[in-house]
Amino acid sequence: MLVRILGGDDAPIYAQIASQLRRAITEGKVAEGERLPPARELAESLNVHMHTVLRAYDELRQEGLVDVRRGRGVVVLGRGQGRARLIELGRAFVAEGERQGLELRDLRKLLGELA
Amino acid sequence: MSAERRLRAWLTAIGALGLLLALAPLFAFWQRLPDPIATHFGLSGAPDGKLGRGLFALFLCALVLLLPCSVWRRAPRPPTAEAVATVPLLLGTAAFMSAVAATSSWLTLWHNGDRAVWSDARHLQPGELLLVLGVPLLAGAAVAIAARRRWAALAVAPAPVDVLPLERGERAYWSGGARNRWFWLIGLGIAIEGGVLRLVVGGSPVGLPVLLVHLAVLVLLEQLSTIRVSVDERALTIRYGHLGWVRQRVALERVERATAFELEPWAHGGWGYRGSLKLGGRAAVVVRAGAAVRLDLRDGTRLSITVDDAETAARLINGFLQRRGEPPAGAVLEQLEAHG
Repeated sequence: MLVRILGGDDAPIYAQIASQLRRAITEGKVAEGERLPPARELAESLNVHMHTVLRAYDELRQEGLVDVRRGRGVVVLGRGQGRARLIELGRAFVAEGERQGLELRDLRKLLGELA
Repeated sequence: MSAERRLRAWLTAIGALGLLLALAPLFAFWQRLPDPIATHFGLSGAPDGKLGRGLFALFLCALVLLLPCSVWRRAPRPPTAEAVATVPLLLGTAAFMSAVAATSSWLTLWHNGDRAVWSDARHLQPGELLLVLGVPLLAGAAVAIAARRRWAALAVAPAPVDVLPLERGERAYWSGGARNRWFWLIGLGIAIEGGVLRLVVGGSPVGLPVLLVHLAVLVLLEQLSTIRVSVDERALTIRYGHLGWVRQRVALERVERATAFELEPWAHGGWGYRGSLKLGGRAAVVVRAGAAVRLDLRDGTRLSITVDDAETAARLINGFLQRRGEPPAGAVLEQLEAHG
């Protein structure tokens, strides 16, 4: 499981971490039942605040990808039945739209046309 | 001939020759042997252990075939220098074991031939032990030397150092693991044997210390049943056991290069923590066979660690090493920190 934080990336660090962990889980690189590294360890290694990592973990928990339990750490629940993949694609879609100057309304309309 | 077919041809030759030399004389004199036969001798040289003729023949077969069978499907593919370097040792060991079977067979024949019962067997002379071990050692060494000559040409050039290019100011972390349930199961078996059989069933007064020793073995095996390896800009860290309390850190300053490779336990002396960096300059953390990362350290020593996705670990370590020396982009880091 590789986590990279790019210097030139505009996305906030917690989002970069969450995005890469999400991809590792949906691609099956981290198997169901495996634990993610403790937040403190990841934070020290990446030289970021522990809250940044916890925020990324919390995002994954809300998406149903991991279970956060006291004492047991962060346990991967599975590939999320494709939902996480959709979220990943959706984020890329929104980011690309913003880059092209499109507003949320325009993106919605575009999605409606595609569906 | 491919490396795989050549390795199998050598293994077949060593195994066939071993079986022939060990079994042919035994069967030729089968009717002139007592049953059971004397197979173990005390310090005085008098026979003190016996085995059925058939079982003894089976034991010789196992001795010859154990190694060839266990590595049959594990030919070095592709034949990297690393893999080829282990072949002479492997073939030498196979030849040694075949020769031990042969000399054991001859010696057993000599001691039991034309005797009515096993306890009448000829007494063992100290010099004969030299024969049992000396001949196999010579045979093993000869095969290893011959194999080294024949195999050296097969090695392909070492793989180029694989690097994950890292940008300035980029931060990265990698984590992977390796596990092997057998450590657990064996440890549990030993603990149950020590606890239930000796203490509860046997009720022996020496039971408690024995139980404690067995529990210690269980703890030790648990530590090796699962490891987690992480890499960041500063170090590679190995955490042993499910709780990861025991840690081993290798600062990247000490590392010259990292390489991913397929680790064969037989080439490192088996499973567990093999060797010693301080004493032998070589060490390996062998949890299972397969993907592993090797660290070549600046002091010339070498540490190998079995871990899944070792390729990414090696590339990341090489990436950090390559970037080293560049000025840290402090400003960029601060700015990013504010976002998080």
